[in-house]
Amino acid sequence: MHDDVAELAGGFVTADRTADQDFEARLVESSTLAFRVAYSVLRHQQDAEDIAQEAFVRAYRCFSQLHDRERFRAWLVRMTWRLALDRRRGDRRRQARESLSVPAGFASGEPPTESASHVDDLVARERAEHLWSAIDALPEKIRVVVVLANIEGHDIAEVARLLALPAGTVKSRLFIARQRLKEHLQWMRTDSTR
Amino acid sequence: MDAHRLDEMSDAALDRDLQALLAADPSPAFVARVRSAIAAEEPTSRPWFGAWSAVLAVAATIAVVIVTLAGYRGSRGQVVGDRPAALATRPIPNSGAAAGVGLLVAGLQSRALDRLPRPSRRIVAAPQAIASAEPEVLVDPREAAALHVLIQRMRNGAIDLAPLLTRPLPAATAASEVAGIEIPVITIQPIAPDTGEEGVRK
Repeated sequence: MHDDVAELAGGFVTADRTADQDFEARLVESSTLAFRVAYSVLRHQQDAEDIAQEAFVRAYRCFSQLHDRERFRAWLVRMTWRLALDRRRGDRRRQARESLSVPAGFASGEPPTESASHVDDLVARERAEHLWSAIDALPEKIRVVVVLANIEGHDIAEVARLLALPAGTVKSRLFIARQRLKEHLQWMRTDSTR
Repeated sequence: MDAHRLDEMSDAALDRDLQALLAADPSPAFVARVRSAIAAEEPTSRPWFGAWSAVLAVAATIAVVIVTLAGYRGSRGQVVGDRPAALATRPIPNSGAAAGVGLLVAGLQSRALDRLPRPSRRIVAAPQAIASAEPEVLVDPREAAALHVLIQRMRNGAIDLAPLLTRPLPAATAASEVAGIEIPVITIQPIAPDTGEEGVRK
């Protein structure tokens, strides 16, 4: 009897350890993805980390249904996106957002050199603001597609899996997103040169 | 992005700009923070533990309720089930006074039934289902049926009990004088001793 109980308890412990190891692997693999999804909405380092952390904690609670890698990533992306949107909507009081950080190599794909002038930095910052503004102007369904397509080099099939959409839908939404972004950026450029 | 020729921007250039814009990385401590948040969550959020503990709690509550209800109904069913059998053997009084009392009870019951709303009548008709603290009024089923018929006929006008109710009850007869009982004095004579020697068998 005691042996049976010990065996059963040992089974649970082993199952728990295996589940924890699986989750650890998912965490390491998807932490940047979740952070970037949150960051694309919030554009605030600490807020994005908080939201991504909350999404991981929720994923842990229902990890028994999310063992599959693809399912886990898709669930995580959608949950993070929703949580970030909720945070952004509910965070209207925050007025002073952290100044937009321009990732290294934004303008040319290369790290900034010592000769990069202060003017170039300001220009890059302004371009980033324009691009964020253009992204914000997109409808939510199109915005999530373009964001995911430009995170970690996801192709159309990968984005379709993450959003549980047909590949054709993703492709058409991506096309619309690019057109609108270009139009918006062009409009902003002509507006700023007047 | 070619800032000077936005109108000729290619998809590749736009994607490159977007990728650079979204290439933010979490802080090095981010994964560690998530690990500690999950470790704090762990004791209370084991999926199997949470689900099983909830199921066990609900099952235990249901079992306690069922046992309590079964015990209560069993005890009531025994009491209510035994008493009519005892009442069935009791003779139904047939005297005039008893008839008067019966009519009074019938009238009271009729008025009580009239005052009660419809759903309550069913409860009165099935006293086993009532869980009341008040003492239970037990009526022999035959008596109840008779009273029911009587009430129905009174309502229909088939029976008019007005003369019975107006008829004076018979006056109590005076008790007759009881003659005194004379008890003669009883004298007890001592038993005469036997002649002959004591202990000698005759």
